[in-house]
Amino acid sequence: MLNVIADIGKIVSGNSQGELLDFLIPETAKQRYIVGIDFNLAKKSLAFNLLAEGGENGLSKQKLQEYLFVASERGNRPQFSPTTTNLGYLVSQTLPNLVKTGFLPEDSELKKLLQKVRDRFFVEVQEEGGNKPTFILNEKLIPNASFHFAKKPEKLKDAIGAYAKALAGLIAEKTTAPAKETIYTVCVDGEPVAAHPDYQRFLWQQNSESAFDGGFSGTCSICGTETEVTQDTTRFVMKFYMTDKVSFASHFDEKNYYKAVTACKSCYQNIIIAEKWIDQNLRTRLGGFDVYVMPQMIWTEMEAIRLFRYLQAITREFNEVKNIASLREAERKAAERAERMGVFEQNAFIWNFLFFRKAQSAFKVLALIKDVPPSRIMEITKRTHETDDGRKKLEIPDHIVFDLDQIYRLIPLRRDKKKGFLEYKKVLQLYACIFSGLPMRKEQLYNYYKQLACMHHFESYGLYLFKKPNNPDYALMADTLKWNLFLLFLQKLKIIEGESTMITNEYDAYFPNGVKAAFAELNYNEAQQGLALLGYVIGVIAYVQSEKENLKSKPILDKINYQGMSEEKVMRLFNEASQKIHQYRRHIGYAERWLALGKKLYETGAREELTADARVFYLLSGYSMNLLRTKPTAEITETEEAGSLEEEEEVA
Amino acid sequence: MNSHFLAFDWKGFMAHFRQFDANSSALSYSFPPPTVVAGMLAGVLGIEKDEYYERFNRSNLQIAVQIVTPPRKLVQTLNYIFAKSANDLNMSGDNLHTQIPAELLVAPTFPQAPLHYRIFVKTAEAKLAGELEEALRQPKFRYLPYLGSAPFTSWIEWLGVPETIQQLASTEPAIVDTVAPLAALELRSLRMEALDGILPAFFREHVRRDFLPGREPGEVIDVVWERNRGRIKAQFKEPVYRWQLNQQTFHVVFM
Repeated sequence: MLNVIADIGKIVSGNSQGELLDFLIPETAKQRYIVGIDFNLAKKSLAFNLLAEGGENGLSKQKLQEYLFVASERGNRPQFSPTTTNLGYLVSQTLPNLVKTGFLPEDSELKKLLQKVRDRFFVEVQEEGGNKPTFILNEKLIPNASFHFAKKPEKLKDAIGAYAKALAGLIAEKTTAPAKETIYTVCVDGEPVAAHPDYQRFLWQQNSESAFDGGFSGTCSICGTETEVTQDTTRFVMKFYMTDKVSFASHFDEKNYYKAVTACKSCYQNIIIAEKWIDQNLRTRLGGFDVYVMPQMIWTEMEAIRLFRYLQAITREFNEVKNIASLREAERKAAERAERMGVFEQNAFIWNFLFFRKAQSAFKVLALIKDVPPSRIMEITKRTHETDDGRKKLEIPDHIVFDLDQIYRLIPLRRDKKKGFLEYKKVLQLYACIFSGLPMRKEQLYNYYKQLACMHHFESYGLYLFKKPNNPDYALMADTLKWNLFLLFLQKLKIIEGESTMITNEYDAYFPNGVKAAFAELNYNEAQQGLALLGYVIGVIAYVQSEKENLKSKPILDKINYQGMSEEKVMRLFNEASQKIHQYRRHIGYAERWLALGKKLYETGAREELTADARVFYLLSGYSMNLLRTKPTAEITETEEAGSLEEEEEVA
Repeated sequence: MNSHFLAFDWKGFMAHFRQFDANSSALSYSFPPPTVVAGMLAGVLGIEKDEYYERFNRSNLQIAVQIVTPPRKLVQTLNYIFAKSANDLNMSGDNLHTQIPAELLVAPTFPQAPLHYRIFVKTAEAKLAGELEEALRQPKFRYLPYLGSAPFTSWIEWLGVPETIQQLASTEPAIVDTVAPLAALELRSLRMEALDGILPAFFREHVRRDFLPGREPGEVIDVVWERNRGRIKAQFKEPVYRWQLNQQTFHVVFM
């Protein structure tokens, strides 16, 4: 993958790394103010000045460039940026680090200046029980300082944090720039350190050349050139190649990482550039996960540069595919899209989806779905549209839709206090199957559905990432219908083995309104139809229980075993539904006919294919079809009731 | 022609050909790259590790790979020993592991059918060609072949030496059956039109061509392969060979 990243860097920089610093600076920052912390050497005093102010959308790139605002160093690496949002770094390590050996050059003018600042403004503080003293900004120089390091703190890190917080409050008071919206920059005698040519050279060197301190002559693994190369990949953010565990090195010797990966200066800088550019331009979200949509060019470099503008369109294209609302919007801009699709149709790019999680400094790859041809994306778009057309036919409302983003909401992932969610592989595996066209096991999908049904019925939302909805019964109905659309989508993509579907049905004239069309559209077989009809009747009974009998709950729903319906349970439920129909016969309409038909259909050979989880799914699908239609069919129900009574009278 | 040609089928149920630049997630190539095939052939002949790089370099041994069954990729997480230093390798410390997702290759119809690669070899050394033919035809292996990683045992089916071999004229577009190095293609000559009514789906991989003595890293190349028909139509700068072998015709370009 390193070569894919380097290729993107090469294209976006036009193969010239001269503007490396430009790429290191973000396009915008959400912060609205830049405040200078000015060290006056002559007066030995500190001042806080508001240097720049951005609009409502934050600071512009131009302002950020002026003060060289770049991301902080990751992990335990020493901090050196004089412009940062983290005041803790500025009151402790940043300036003392810059004057250490190995940072600014010995003869640097800036180094001498910063040495004076360190000597006049910083004091050495030691942690209790600690050996090494650390430089801290002398709090006595700050007017009205409420914080002091007079005695050794127990935990220096916490003490610095508290000190920075107090100082941020003081700065906010003096400059009226709220701490959360402020970027701080260090100035000496009114001049920003970031603007000093020595610092600019140093920043460039850190990002492009420092890795080559231990460089040697070899073959670049990325471009194949024989030149000076490095095996130091520690500054790379997207980690595919680890160099901290000796078991991954040839002959267990850490000097041998170069035998797998080396990079020349040009490729190294392209990767640094690409990582920033990808983060800003090719980053999106799919189903609650952060994802980079990384295209790989089949063509040669010249062709790739020609296709650069389409590269920028890739994320937009993907954002349209994953969401049905944006897909509809995209259809309106047909001409623009057609041109783009024309390029994609030529298989100019292969798509790679890198799902990741960022936690402080760590970058963890959750999944990489590689080598997705554009034709697959077009196929997914087409099938999403077809599924939505099916939804419209069945008159399922607009807010109960299926698209790629919805998958995340259809599979309950357990919550973890620290990590946010667990079991993410369940969802990512589904995405991998959809993008790569791998087959899926339907039994597994029914199992996921069952967990969702349990979550809604038992209202165990606390265990999962879901918030409790206002009406769990309605949420169950909506999600069940979404699941039906999801299965339909997978069937259309031909990645799920379908059971035999029922082509004609001599009894379909006796189905409830709308249900016949749903069975045909969703390709239900006999047993599935039978269970859905049972579910539909349960819906009728539940409605009578809550509306006509004024019961607070719907006791009939408790007869369903949400953990899985065994064969015996289903038969018992048929019998119980039959009893309830007799109990509520005044209100129940054609329910008896539907139930008899359901039982007849269920008792065909097709029921043997059903698992206990699948039975829950089809039962609740029928229930949802009824619940969805409760309001619109109220009049019809009345008519049916009337009809039913008339029939009974005639019989009598 | 002073070159010697031979071909064989390489089959097995699972494979893993780790991409050289990905070890924190062990991604796999879809086919055995030239270094893997060379290593397997060296093993078949009983040549020890790290002792064949000079003899098997590109000027003496060229390899082409046809992907007969495009593989399906599965991801399984493996437990590796967590070792920051060589001392940790004996697990005497905290007995920690580091988990690495690894891509495994199987046939689309796994486990009914195996993965299937067809390997074409061209060598300038008559002795090497003879040794390989003797070992592969019998078969008589010194070390058993495996598909990229030791757990994935495999077998070889000898195809033979070509009845006729012909080098195609480079002025005409050709349709090759093997994975093709990108550098072998004329600029913008890769054809996107349907072959036998099927639209192509091209993929690009970045592989190491060979190792230098002392297992020093050698040349890296980009290669292209096609999934739907397994054939690539383009104008080629490098020689394309037409093989007649067991009443079949193959068009081969070496990596």
